[in-house]
Amino acid sequence: MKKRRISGQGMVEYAMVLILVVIAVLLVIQLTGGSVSNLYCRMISIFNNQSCAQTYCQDSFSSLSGSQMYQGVWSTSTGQLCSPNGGGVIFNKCSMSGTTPSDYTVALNNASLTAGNGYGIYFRATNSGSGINGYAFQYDPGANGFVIRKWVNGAEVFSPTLAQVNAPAGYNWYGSPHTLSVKVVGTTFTGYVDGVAVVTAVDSTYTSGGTGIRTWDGTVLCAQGLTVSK
Amino acid sequence: MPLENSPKLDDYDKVFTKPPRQVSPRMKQIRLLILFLGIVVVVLGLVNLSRSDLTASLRRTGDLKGVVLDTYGQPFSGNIYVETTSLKTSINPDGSFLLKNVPAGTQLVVVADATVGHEFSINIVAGQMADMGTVVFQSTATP
Repeated sequence: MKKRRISGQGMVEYAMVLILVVIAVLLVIQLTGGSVSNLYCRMISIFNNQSCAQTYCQDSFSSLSGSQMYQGVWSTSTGQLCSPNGGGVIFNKCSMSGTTPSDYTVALNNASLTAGNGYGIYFRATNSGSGINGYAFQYDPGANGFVIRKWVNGAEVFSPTLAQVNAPAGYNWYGSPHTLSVKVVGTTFTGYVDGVAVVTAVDSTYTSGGTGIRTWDGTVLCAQGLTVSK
Repeated sequence: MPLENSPKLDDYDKVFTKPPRQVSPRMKQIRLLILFLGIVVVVLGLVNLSRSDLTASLRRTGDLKGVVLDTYGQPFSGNIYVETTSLKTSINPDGSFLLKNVPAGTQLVVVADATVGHEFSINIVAGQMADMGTVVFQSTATP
């Protein structure tokens, strides 16, 4: 009887399958990197009961050493950073150094506005000499609302405003300290006041950058710390 | 048998010809899997490439012109920027501007003074001059 030779799969085929699977996985991670990382973190946190929170930068405002003044003369006193008269801009040195990832949450803690038209948090901001590029989330009694705008080479882009939501009637802008924060995930930015989401914007212009604070129009602001975390 | 009548070695080769190799069903599955994974890798690679800066740098460029006036109809003094590029130009004293070598495709162009900007979405066609027309710049904070 004639025996038929039937060849099976060899090591070469297995190796090719393995290599192709690895390449495909790497390409998928490259496309979805941040979200995959978050997914792993959330899955692991189910088992070890630990938070995925991770602090990238923290400034307690005990001095100005963690800050980079850009406009106006800011000051610190008893753990508070206070704005200059007439408005100004100050950057968080750590987050502006380029070491923080693209997605983060920046929080300005216990910020008290006692006068003026408002203040804001810069995020995904860069300052290359031609002016500030990035975004700002603004606590804006001058506009009677919460605003997210884009900045291009030092100019605040008013049209289109990325997002603006009016404050509730009778909202008390002044006196009480608030924690203002922005959650930056991909192209979606959500502004919070005391943990409550107040405004959301979507834009894809800037994909990375640091954080800072801005004031304008006679604002008097003091805040007790800035945190950039996962 | 005389030596010249002896079979040649080539004749033996014909007798003992190896049977044709047959591929097992499992081998076929593996090869199909390799083909499928190869296609997946190529598609993912193309998606990654399309999102990279490389394709942007390979794009061709066009030019952009326009006129910017203030709310009184006078030539506006300011700058023109193309977002996420280093392209910028100052507006001429007569309100006109010309930006050369703008990457083709939809670009976000900002007309700005020192503090306020207004953004426009402009389609730049490679090798052509796009005309933004006449833009009226609102200097006030809330145009």
